[in-house]
Formats: sequence, structure tokens, C-alpha cells
Amino acid sequence: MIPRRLLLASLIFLPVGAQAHEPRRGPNGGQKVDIGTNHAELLAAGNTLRLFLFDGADRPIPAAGATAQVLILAGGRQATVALAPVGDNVLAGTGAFLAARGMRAVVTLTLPGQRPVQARFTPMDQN
Amino acid sequence: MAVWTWGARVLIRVLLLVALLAAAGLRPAFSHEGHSHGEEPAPPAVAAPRAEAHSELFEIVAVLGPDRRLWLYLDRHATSEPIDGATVQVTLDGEDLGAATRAGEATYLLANPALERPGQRNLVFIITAGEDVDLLPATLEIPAAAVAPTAAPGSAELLSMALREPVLWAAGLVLLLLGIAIGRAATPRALPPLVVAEPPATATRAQGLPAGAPSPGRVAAAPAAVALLAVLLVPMIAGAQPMDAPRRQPDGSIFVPKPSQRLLGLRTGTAEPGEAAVAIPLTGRVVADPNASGRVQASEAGRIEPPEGGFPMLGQRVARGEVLGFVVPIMAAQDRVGVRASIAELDALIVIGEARVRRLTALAGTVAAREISDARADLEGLRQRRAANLPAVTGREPILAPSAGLISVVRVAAGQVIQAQEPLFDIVDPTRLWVEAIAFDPAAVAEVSGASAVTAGGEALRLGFVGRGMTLRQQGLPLHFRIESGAAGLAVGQPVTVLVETPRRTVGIVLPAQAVIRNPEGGQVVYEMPSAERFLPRPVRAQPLDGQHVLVTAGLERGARVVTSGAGLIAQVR
Repeated sequence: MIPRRLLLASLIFLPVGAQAHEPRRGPNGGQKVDIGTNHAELLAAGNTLRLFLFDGADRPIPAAGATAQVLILAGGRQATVALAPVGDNVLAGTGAFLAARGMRAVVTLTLPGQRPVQARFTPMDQN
Repeated sequence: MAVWTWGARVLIRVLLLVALLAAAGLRPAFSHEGHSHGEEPAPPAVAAPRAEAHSELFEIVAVLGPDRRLWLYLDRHATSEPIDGATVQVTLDGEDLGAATRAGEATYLLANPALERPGQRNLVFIITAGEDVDLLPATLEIPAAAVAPTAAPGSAELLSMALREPVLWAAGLVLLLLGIAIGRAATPRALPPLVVAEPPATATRAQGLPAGAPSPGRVAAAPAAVALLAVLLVPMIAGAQPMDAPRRQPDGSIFVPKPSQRLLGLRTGTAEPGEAAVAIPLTGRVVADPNASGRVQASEAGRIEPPEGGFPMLGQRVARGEVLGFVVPIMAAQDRVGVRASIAELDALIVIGEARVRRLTALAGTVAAREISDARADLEGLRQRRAANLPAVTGREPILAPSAGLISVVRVAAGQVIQAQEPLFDIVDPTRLWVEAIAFDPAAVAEVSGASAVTAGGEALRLGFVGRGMTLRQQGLPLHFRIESGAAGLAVGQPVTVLVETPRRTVGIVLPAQAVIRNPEGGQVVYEMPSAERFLPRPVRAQPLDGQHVLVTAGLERGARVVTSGAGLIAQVR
């Protein structure tokens, strides 16, 4: 009897946020998702990719020293694009692909002194 | 003592109160700045290293086997339907490991030396299944090389372990045998027979068991032995596939690895809000359609005689008007004498009448034609009276089938003496059955827009409303429904649950009836599948819709992935 009550009480502590990786629109109009403990926003246009970096509280973090590899699946073709820092919190790169609806990308981001982390983007499927 | 228990109870209450108050404050601790980063609870520590990823199309689970091979399980995300024949290309930290080979139905296998490097590895799966192509990232923690095999050890490993530690194993075996011996010695035995004359062979056995049957104790042990054997054999049957046991985790969720999900035939569906008509469950039973069934009763007392080919048997199809038997009327001796006497009297009168007719016809022309026809009419009347009296002593009455159908009840035996109105046979047409339901709240079923029924075995029947009575019977209002389509093999009198649809509608989530199960406390539970191998029981409020579907009105959020098939098996995971 008593353990069951305690069990019921402990159920209240269960976390509720199961929809944490819900992609959302970022401040630059791209798709923003969680990457590791940080957030990243990916913009695709033509054959160019731009990746904006934010911390967990959506404050921009410096891109200096960071590298990123992007695996792209667009129009039935695979492509790999390397991104390099081009601005305060932006990495950019170009590759042999053409951004189109249904495009999928997996970004592997390596921040200086940290393990590589991955995130999946569908930058052209924003509604 | 009383003070002590009182104190403990107060302590529990205070703890509960603290827990309730703290819950609101603790919840944000799992998230940061507006949203959580989804601290997915890890699979059990004893499970093999695994990674999972999903998109709106696919769900993939990668399990690193003890032999350092990567087993991949690919499913549709929304339905958990396995996808066979897909191409899965794997990259590890940007290095292409090639495509995984098909190892079984919707199971893919990848062997690569790169999988032996310990540490946290980033995987990307490039999946092509027909028209659908997708990229899925996942992170796999590869343990150091000297890791203990996490799957159940194979027989070869058991043997090598036995060879390494022979003394320990021998000691264990001796203890096991000792335990079995003690167990056997302690089993209750039948008392020695008190009556000396009773043969000992029957005294030691339970009554009614044949001499060759095993004793009840052994019968009870047999399923346990089979289960033990199955547990020991399962890892061997599964081959090299890492078989982690499904288990209940401390947070109340249930971990069911993909191979087990495949065995259970698990399927899921997305909870989408919808609208459905309110259904009211009523208890009912199957009855025969009065226009397509019949009851055969004798109209007078008599002795039953079989027809030409014997009595109809149970289940035999009979046509309308078919002879099912004969009733030979039985009469008291006095009555029989009376009838015989009147027949004899009639015989005499007939002889006289015949002579008179002959005489009068010979004199035709001199006698009035009216007299001749009177005499003929008299004679005819006498003959008819005799014919009417004769069956009472010699004749038998045929019993005819009042309708076509199958014989469902036989209550006769040849030579049986029956009373008048005794039911002899029941005839039922199995294609025309009705359901009679009793509504204890006549107002609730004032409007019936549709109906269905479920048998105790879970088979659904579609019903058409026939009518409702205007008189309460045992405080309930009888309603009649026609069975329009449904299960074969229904029996008259079988209980069913009738779901009466009313024109009122409510909003909720429509799920298949198997999705909602009862938990041990008696509440209704739906299993949500928040990730590929994790299931969460969600208490819900559900009401039946049409026998195959239920309407969940509370306890489930829209878009949740819910187990629609195999929920009962998940509930049994301990």
C-alpha cells in the first residue's frame, strides 16, 4: 500500500518535454534545430549553405575555430560540403548540389575543443 | 506500537505533500530557457550498445552485437511496420562504411573494423527504400574492447566457462541436485490407505485418473519445465542477433528491443483527434428471428415414432413441411373401446346403407330420384364418419417442420411418450439471427442511429435496428436488432455486448480497440511509443465506439505515437 503511494508520487517527477527536437524557424529565416547542447540554424540557397550557431539560450556563439561537414541528399543525389567560418557566428560553404524541396542534410559540427555533434535538417521543407 | 504506525503514516503523508509541491518546481529543471533538450532516458545498462534515429518516414535502431557487428532494424516511423529490401548505407565519423547486407526480414547487418574503435561515434544512415530516401544521424557509444558480452552467452562460451572453473561448476551442480532431491522428498504424498481392503495402486493416485496418467504434481511441473527450456533455448535459436530482454525500467517505462518488437508483431499509429458518435454499451444475447425459426410441438399426447430415414439430427438442414416424425395417439382403454364400438356400429350401418342404395337404384324410374340421392348421401356420410374415427385407433399424426433451417434442439427419442404441447425440435436459420438487448435507461436509447455488437471472443457483428418494445421487462426495455454481417458460428442464447450508436457526437482520438488495455489496477491504459524501443503507459479515459474502435477522450495528446497492435503483450513485460 505505502510503496504504491510513493510510486504514484514519484510519477509526478517524470519529464514531459518529449518533443524537444522539434525543428523551428530561426531568426535568419532558416530551420533551427538542436545540435548537441547548442542550437544551429541552416539556410540553403542554390548551391550555398550557411550555418548560424547559437547556444542553448539562443545567444550567438563565435564561429571562429569551428568546422562543419554537411552530408546532403537533394534531388536523389548525395553531396558532401565542408563549411568554414565566414562571420561572427556563421559558417558557409558551397558544393555540388542544388537546394530543392525534399532536401535533407546532416551537419556534423566540431566546435573548438569539443566532440563532433550531429543534427538533421530539412531546410527547404519549412512551412 | 500504535504511536509508531501513526508516526509512520504522518511521515508518508508529509513526504507525499512535499513531492506534490516540489513537482511543479522541479519540472523546469529538465529543460533550459523555454524548451528541453529531450534528455531521453537511456536504455538499461545491461542492454547492448545501441543508437536510434527517426524522421517522419523511417525509424532505425542500430545495435552493436557482442561480435562487433552492427545490426540495423529499419521500420516505418508512424506505423512501426518493418521495411524489407531497403538499402542502408552507413558512414561513421564521415568515413563511408558501405551498405549493410540484409540479414533477415527488415534486419540489416554491417561488419567493419571501424566499429571496433571505442568511444562516441557519429553515424549517418543513408536509407533508400523504394521512392523514399532519407538521411538519419545517430550517436553510438562503442565500449572499450574488453567489454563483457552483453547478450546471453552462447553454448560454446558456457562450455569454456565450465572448463575454466570446474570446481565451482561441479559444486553448483551438486547443490542443484541436492535441491531437487530435497524438493522431491518434501512433496506431499497421499496418506497410506486406512482401509486395508483398498488396493494400494488406486490409493496413491487421485480419483478418476487412469493408471497410466502422470501424477498431478508432475502435470503441474510440466509447463514450468517447458518454460525453463524455452528460456534456455531462445538465445540459441536467435543465433548471433543480440537479444536483449524486454524489461520494465525504474521510471515506469518499458524497454522492448526491436527484435522482440518484431516477434510481438507490434504496430503503432498516430493519435489524430476526430469526432465519433456516442455509443452506449448494452448487454444482449443472440435470439432466433421469429420469421425464420420454428419450434415443433406435438398437438396431442402420444408416442413418438421416427420417420422414414430416422429422426433429424442436430445441425441437419430441413425444408419447410418436411416430416420430422410421427405421433401415435395414446388412448385410455375405455376410450378405445368406445371408438371401436362406434366403428363397428358404423360398419353395420354402411352395409345396410349400401343394400338400400342397390335396391333403390334397381327400382330407378318407379322410385323418386330424390330418395336415391338421399340414400347415396347417407351412405357417403357414414363412410366419412368411419374414416374420421379410424385414425383414432390405428392412425398416426405426422410432425411437420414449420420453417426451413437447421435443427438446433432435439428432445425426442423413439418410443418416447410425450404430452401435448411438449417442444420436440427447434429449427433455426443461422443466416437470420437477431440480437435482443436490454436497455435499463430507455431515454438513452430513444434515438438509435446504428448498432454493432461484440461477442465474448472479440468478434464484431454489424447490427440493424429492428424495433424496441414498449413494455419494461425485468426493469429493462427490450430492443431487437438484426445481425446483418458478422461472425459465423453464433449460437442462440450466446451473450454479446451491443453498442448502440446515438446521433450525439463527441470529440476524441479514435483508436483500435486492442490499443486500450486494462492495467492491474483496473484502469484503462494506452502505450505510447516516444522512441524506438521505449514505451510509456498512459492512463486514458476511453469509451467503446463500434466494437473495433474506441474513443479516447482524455489522457492522450495529439500526434502521439500509440501502440495499436501488441499492447497487451507489452503490458506483460516485467
